[in-house]
Amino acid sequence: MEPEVSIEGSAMIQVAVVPVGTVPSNVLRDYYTMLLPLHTIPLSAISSFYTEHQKSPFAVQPWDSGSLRFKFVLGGAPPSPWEDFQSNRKTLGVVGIVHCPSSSDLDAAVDLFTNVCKSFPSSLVDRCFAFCPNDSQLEEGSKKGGNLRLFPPADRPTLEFHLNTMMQEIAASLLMEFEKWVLQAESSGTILKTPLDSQASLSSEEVIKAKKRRLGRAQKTIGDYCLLAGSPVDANAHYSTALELSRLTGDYFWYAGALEGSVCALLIDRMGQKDSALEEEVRYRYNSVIVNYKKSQDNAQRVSPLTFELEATLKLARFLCRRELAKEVVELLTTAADGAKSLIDASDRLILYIEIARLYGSLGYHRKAAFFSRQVAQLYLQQENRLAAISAMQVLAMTTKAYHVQSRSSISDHSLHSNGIVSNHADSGKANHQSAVSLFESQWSTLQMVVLREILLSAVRAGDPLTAWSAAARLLRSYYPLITPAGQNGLANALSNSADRLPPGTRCADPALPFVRLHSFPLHPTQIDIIKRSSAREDWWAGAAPSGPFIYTPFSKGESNNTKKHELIWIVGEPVEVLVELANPCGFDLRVDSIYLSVHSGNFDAFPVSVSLLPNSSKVITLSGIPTSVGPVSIPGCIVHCFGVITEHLFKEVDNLLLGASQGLVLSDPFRCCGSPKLKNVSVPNISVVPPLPLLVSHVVGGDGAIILYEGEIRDVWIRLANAGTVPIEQAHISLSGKNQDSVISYSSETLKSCLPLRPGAEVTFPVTLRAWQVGLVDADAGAGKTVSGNNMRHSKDGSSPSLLIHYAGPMQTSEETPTNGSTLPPGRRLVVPLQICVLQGLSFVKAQLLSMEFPAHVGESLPKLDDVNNKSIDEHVNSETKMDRLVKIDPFRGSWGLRFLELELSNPTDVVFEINVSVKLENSSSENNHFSDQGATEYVYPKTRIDRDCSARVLVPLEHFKLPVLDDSFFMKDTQLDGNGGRNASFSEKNTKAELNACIKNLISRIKVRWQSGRNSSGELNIKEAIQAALQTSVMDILLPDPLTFGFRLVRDGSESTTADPDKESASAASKGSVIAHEMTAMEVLVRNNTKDMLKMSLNITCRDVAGENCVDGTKATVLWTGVLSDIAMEIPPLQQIRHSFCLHFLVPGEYTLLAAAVIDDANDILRARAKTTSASEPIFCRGPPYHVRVLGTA
Amino acid sequence: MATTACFIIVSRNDIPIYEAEVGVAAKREDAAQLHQFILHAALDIVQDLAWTTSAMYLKSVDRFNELMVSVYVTAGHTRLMLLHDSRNDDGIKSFFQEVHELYIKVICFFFLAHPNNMFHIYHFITFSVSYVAFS
Repeated sequence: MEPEVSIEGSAMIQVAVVPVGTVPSNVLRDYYTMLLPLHTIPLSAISSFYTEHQKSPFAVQPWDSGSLRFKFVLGGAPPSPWEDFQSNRKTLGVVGIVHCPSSSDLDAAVDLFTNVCKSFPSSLVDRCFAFCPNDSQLEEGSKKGGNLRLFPPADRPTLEFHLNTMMQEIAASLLMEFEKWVLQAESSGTILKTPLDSQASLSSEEVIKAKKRRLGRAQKTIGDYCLLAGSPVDANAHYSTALELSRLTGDYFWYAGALEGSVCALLIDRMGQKDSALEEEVRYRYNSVIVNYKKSQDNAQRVSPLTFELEATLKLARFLCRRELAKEVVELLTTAADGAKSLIDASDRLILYIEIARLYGSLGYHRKAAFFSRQVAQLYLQQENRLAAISAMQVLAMTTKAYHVQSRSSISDHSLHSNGIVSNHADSGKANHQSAVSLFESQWSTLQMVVLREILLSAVRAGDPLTAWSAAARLLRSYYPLITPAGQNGLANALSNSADRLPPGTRCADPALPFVRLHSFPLHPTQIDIIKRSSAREDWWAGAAPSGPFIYTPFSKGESNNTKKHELIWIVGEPVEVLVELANPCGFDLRVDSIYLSVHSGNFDAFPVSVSLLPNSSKVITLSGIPTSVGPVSIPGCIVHCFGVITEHLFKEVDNLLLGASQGLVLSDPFRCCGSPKLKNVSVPNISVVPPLPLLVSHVVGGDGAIILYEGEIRDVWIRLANAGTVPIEQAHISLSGKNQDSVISYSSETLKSCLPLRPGAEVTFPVTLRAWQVGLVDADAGAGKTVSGNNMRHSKDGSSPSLLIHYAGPMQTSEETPTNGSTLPPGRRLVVPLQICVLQGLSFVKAQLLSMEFPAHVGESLPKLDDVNNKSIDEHVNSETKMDRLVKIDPFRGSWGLRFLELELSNPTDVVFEINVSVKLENSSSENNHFSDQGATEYVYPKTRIDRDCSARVLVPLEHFKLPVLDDSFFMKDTQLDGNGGRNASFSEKNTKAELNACIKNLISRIKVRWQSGRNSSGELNIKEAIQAALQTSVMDILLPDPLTFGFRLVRDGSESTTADPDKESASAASKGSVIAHEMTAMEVLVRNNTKDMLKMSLNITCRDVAGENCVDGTKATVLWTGVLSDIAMEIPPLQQIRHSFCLHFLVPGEYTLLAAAVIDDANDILRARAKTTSASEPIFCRGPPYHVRVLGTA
Repeated sequence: MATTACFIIVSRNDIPIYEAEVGVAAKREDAAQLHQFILHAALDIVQDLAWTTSAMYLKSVDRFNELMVSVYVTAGHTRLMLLHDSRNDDGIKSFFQEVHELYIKVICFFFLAHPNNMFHIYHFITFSVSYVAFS
């Protein structure tokens, strides 16, 4: 059988193209491809070379429209035993090809060619084409003549033209030879034999039969030559005769041959015009041809003409091969395939299957074509030699598309040409589906595995390690769930063995193991966050906040989400990381020699790592690299060096596989079977690389560990910032974020700003003052985090510590080499410095309560200090030490009435010692009107109180000095005013009063500071404001407001009043003189001071009580006699003045007595009423002074 | 039942959803593979032939050596394909009809239960077809 048979093949002149001498294969192929287009030489073109020696036997040769057809066979075909039967099987011409640069001796070449021609005995015309001769060869060759034709070096069109001319010459020579042959055959006759005849026994009957048949056969052969000579009408005439003769002689075989020739003549005559009538005619005649070939097989001969029957079937099938006639063609091809069993010669079967596969392929039946291709491959594999194995491998490679086991390299090739292929409806429908699962099991996995295994086997046998590797890789990667562990090991070995024969660094399009999927893109660590900067805003770092009045706008939401999700910015020169997950679902240890990110954009240096994967395991690894230049970066996958070959593993393929697994289309998810959890679909963001930015790194001076503080402790922390980038920092701004922001008392942004621009490598250190918060209050403050933007939330997640946000940026203009357009600024960055504050429980506050202390004064010669105002004005001249003494010491002669203490109870649950230091800040009131002068504020510091561990202690804070000097309406100002307006806003005024009160309390509280110290460098302040406020709330009026009247008693000796400037000395002398003798008239006076700014009218009463509390002035049992007025003394006291009232007492019984002064104020104004907390206006205002003690000594 | 037979159900997107060697001949691995190859190749012919007739049973559409491929195409273009080596059109037709009924029952059940997952059908048809084939 011959390959590529067609009906028109009978009209083709077979020309052998043989290399002469050494011709490099690529050069030979080049010359051959130049020859191929010259397969048809029109008769009109050869007339110049044609000379009619005798009258041509081709009477009706179409010199205008006819042509000679050539079939060029590279290397030539061996002589066929059927040459006589079909003349187109003869090699009628030989073209030798000499490549002059490689064979210098032309003589030798010509001799060689002559020898070569001897192997083609039927050849009529031999020509030797010598290409690219040099000058000497050209000269030498031109002298030679004969068969040698020289083609001087020229450009290709010239060479092709030259070749065309030479072919025309050959065609003309052949035509003349055909004429000669036909004339000879017509005159003398010829003996034509086929292998069928040679087997016949030479019985007389047979000889006679042969003689009869000879004429018909001769006519058939002449018809063949007519066809070859391009004269179909002549051929038809001879074929008709031959048909008639062979029918008569029962020469079915030759009859069929003549019929075939006549069909060919018919087609040539019609010049390729096809219509249904012609088609019907051809189909009818060819069916007859097939039947006759079949008939001729009846004789039991060793050589069967079956091949001719099959060839005829194939010729008809090729002629009809169209989609519309698919059914008929399939029928023919199926019949042809059935004939394969009867073929004796294996190569015939091979050619039959190849032709069937080709025809199915051109019909669009790719699966059928693949099936027969595989049959071809199996026949090749039976031959057990390397060339056959190579052929098998190549044939199998063609089937991979139909079985969906293509190599990735062939897919990419194929996609380029796929547009030209007629796609059927089923193909287009499943295109999407196949993209997801094309390379993986589930689709005819048995067939796919068989095909891949055969490719592997043939590649190993053919010695093509790369194809073997690729096949083994596809087999292992796609079908590992269907392969036993032993089989998997075998494939791994095959991979290693193939790799051993490959040069190191070989790349293969098909990945093997492991499976690689994208795990995640780690966000920038908070240290190197990038913030977009807009030139419009000075405070660009605040740009992230929503611009409108609404926190949420539906328009901006989706947008911001999208950009956040799909945008990633990398910086030139700063390493980045990408997490990928590897899975080895097979039963052997997998060693990945190196794996790194595959970046096609060329602006990224990826760092390889090597990994070992245990059987059935998966691993998440970090792949890193450095962007090298500005521009977009795309990461389609990883480059993996495993099993000795470098492959690219695309993330998309694994995604498709996992998608298929989730839909049940693929049997196994390699990651899930390795126990890896299901990942969300990670989309590869748009990554862009920007020019270098500055990079701040921070650390806390003294260690980056947690800063341990006790509750309320105040400490300075020094933070050192360094620019680790290559660009100076020109802008910087510090702000706070996270919880407990108020624990940062101050930070020195000026220090940082003063250092700008911060050059690369430069450092700056600035202090941050911290105050530890209350441990118990952290939860209450949790809501504070909500106010900060979402970006910051993740920083505060780790704890309750605040963070310093440092927004910084490089110069506004980028350096000139970076191609950025002017409108976009290089982005700024944000450094988050988490202040890791660890707050330990410190001193704990137990409770605060207000204590009042009262003890009476003694009546002495000196006047007790009635007005604090005067005292204070004196005190100002005294140093602070005496002040302090005065604060804590009580003058027994002066007594104390209504003295309030704030008692704070503190406990120390820690294991260190605390010292408490209470200080009170007092405003100096140098003048009465100036209550609150800040500059003169003095601080009273009480002695330290030490609290040992696990102990508790109480601290007393006297509140005496907070009293206002004057009771006037300033305190109630608003109150009275509002009342005056008609009192309709009573409730409002009450509120106001309350607010006023609260303000006073706050003012009061803020002046009390409770500081603590522990060890050498821990100190802080107790935050007990709330507690104090609660304690003071009820009695603040008593603390702050003075009584409207103050009363004082004193002894008057000798009628003279002794007033000294020094109150201390006075009190000391009073102590010695402060006793009264019984039975003596004791002159006394009472001082009443008006503390208000109004004139007060009142009536004063003085009483004296004994120890039992009985009134001893009035009544029948009075023990004290008196002169002067003691009751209902009407008085008018001008504002802020005092009035004395003198009287004498005579004590009858020694002992302790108490003097009391009281007054009823007439016409009291609102202030007084408010102070006295009276409810009705008619109620009299009753003022009572503190008790004064008098010790009366006996005379004895 | 024939000495060699291979039954296969191919879904509308050409994925085999069930396959079984149902012949009584000794099972050989390479033979089973060849059967699948033949059936796979016959899909090309079925694909065109199915649109030329209104009958569901397409009779013997293809053959390779002694092995014939008979096909039954359901309305949903699922193909029931039987590879066999002896001619028994009536028997094969009734076999196909029975399998088709079972297939409809199974697919209706699974359409309700797992509309997107054809994979489970495989396991359920296995029992059903074996039952019909050997009875």
